[in-house]
Amino acid sequence: MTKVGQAVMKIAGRDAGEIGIIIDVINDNYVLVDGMTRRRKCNIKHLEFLSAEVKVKKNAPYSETAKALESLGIKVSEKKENKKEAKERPRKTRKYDRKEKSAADNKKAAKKNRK
Amino acid sequence: MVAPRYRSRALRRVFVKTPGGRVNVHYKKRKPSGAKCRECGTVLRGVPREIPSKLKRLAKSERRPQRPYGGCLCSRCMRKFFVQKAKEIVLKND
Repeated sequence: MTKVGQAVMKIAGRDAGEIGIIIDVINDNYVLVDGMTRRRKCNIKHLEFLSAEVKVKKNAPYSETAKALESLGIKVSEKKENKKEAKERPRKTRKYDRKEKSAADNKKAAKKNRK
Repeated sequence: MVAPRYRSRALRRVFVKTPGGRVNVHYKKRKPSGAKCRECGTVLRGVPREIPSKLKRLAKSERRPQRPYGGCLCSRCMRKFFVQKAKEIVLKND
């Protein structure tokens, strides 16, 4: 049953109830699944095999598996990309930045000189 | 003698050791019984047994397992449920 292109349903964990497609067979116990589930390695014991099979290349990208799932009549939602754009955060302002510190030191020195 | 309201067992007794080495008795509200599986009735793991006001202080992810039916069904019953669902699913096979 473990074959690239086999439609499966995850029955355990956070992705339970989601349908995916086997993209790669890693060994006797583990396969790579993508589709409505997150793309991840799964134990076969945590999968229920469905009756359908699809033509999918090994290690196919999500765009292809999504199309294959749609051909099975499953509504596919767009996956959010995990990569977040690096936001510019306001830097922690230190009380005495080097320049400021030197400036403050200079002021102190000036005061001393006046005295 | 303790105050009359503390003589009943409505409140549970918590023994607290003070820094000085004495043991004091604190009277606290009783905890509710643990959450149970809707299907088989076993006590759910991953669901803390606390009074609601304390549960509210926890993060949502700390209150129940992060999976479908987390906090309602035990993992075994959930798996059975989805195995059943997988059998019922009809897919277009081309």
